[in-house]
Amino acid sequence: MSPILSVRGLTVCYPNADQPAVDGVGFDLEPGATIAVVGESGSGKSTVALALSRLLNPAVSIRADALTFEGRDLLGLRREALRRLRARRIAMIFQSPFGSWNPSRTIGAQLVDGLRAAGLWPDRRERLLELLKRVGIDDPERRLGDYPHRFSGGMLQRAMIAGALVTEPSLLVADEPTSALDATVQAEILEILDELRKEQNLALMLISHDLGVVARVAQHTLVLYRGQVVESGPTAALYRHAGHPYTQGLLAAVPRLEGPRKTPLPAMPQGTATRGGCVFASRCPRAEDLCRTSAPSPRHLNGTDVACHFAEDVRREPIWRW
Amino acid sequence: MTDNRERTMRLRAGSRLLRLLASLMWILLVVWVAVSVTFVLSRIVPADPARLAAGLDAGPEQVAEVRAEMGLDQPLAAQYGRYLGDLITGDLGRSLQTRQPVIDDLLTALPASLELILASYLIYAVIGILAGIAWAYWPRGPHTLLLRFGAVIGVAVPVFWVGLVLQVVFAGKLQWFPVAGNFDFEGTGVPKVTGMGLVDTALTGQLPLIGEALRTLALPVVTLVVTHLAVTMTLMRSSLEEQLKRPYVRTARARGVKERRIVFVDALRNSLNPVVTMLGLQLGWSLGGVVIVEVIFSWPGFGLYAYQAFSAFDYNAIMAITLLSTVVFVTVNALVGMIYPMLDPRLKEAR
Repeated sequence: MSPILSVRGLTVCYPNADQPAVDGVGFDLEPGATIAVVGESGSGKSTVALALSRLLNPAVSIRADALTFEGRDLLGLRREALRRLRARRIAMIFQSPFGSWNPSRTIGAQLVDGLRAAGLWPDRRERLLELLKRVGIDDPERRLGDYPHRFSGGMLQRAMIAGALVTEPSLLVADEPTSALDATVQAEILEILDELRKEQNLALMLISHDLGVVARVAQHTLVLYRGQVVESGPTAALYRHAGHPYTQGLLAAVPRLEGPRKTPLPAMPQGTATRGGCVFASRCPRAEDLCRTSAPSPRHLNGTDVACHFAEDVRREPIWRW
Repeated sequence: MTDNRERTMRLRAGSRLLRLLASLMWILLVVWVAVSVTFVLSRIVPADPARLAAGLDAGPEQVAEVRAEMGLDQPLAAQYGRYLGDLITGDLGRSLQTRQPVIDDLLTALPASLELILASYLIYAVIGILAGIAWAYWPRGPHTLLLRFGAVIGVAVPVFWVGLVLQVVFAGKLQWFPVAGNFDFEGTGVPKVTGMGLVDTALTGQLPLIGEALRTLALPVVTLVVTHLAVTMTLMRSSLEEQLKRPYVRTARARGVKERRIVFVDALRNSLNPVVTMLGLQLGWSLGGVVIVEVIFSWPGFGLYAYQAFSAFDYNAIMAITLLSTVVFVTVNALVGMIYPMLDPRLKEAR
């Protein structure tokens, strides 16, 4: 199957920044598949998401060797074509449920705006109500007349999902869709997302800092550190034999119910990364001179692609246990 | 269910009436305080109204007579009581200068000021809002240089200077506009309906007369517009720009909503709050704001009347002017307060 989204060498630079926020990221996403992008705050995950639908400020420079979606070059799209693409083919969900809704307009008015932009109003009215019910909003017809402050965060996020999927897009980019919600609501939302993904043969790109969330739904995972992919591969393989110290650190930092609390990663150092070396070198306990002078390129190893000079050693003797 | 709903509706209607009453009481309270403070101040000031009223060459007996006539020989409390009593019956006393009831003076002066205020206010509110929107919508380009320049000039240059320069250049040198005064009804046969030149000439439908009224209005109105426009414009711009950075705007963009719709339907309404506040304050201040302009252009309105009253210590007129300014300010503020819930649905429910 040919990928629906193909990214090669995606590099994003904010104006006046001394290093790119996203540096040479590449991946493929197949129709109906789920890919997770993980990393700490500031790793560039959200920037990747926003770059895909070109929602970054025009002053931000986006470059890529290839950025194709359904066979079209995303970077070459003109304004109107881009707008239509956002309206029909690529949907997005954002982290902050309250901030993502206009406080002075009803939920219904805002969802209808989206349908109108897609040219699907009023044809999809029934479908919208149906979807709202599906995601767990009772009496949707009445609730559509409510203002966002009458909804809880979880409810807003559910309505957001319904609004994103009613146009039957082929790609849904979910940027930390559950981070602002309680654990119980989180699980429910993820389940709904996964169900709808299967039903609509939707490709899902899930951005998260929470590996627990990722493990539940994503077949493929990309680990981002300082804008670079340090490790990527099938989620199961990544969990079993993480070959990058950073991946191991992230896995070790996931809170668990049983057992003692695991050591967190050492804090992200200030300032710029050592130029020419491995991006993780300044934080890596295993780092040697080689790491500081030469950047490792990704190598295929036991199911994942790892960008570490000592991936074999690290895998044999994990730096952090998880 | 329906029962509950009805009860809520009834409660809401009831509380709306209560709120209205409360704001009315509030207005009365503020007016009363302002009037009392002015009263006390006017009696503390060393100038002697009786002396002024009697004239410079009046003897002591005559002054005493005038004083008794004006009730100024009575204790302060009694004077205060009498003043409040008169006020309630609508009697503002007589002006020392014009020898006419102050209320009549005010009624003659007000239409001229109202004309000036309404004309300039409408212009700078509308242009200010539109220019601010345009600035936020197209934040780059040569027009921003012009807008920025206009904003700085408008804020930095004082009213009297703008007025004088316009007067010297356009009335003195070029003689395009009259130097001073408002529309002169005499000899034109225009019936005085509202007392506002532009409105009354418009009612006759005769273009040359309307043109004449416009010519007299032009310079003072431009002066007021130039000095008030910048604030509205910059406030509108910064407020809208701030809204356009909000995450909900990004959501709308991600949904493919057209940019124009995002600006005018989503962001604009949320950005109007500070602009409404500012415009409300400006309207509230407008009676005081026209003083300088009316003096420069000898515009026979409230401002000129106030200026003359203060210069001559015409204390009945001063009291009336204070009263009127306060009433206008407080009332406009109360009215503006009713606009906020229309802009923000959360306020509608919270109250």
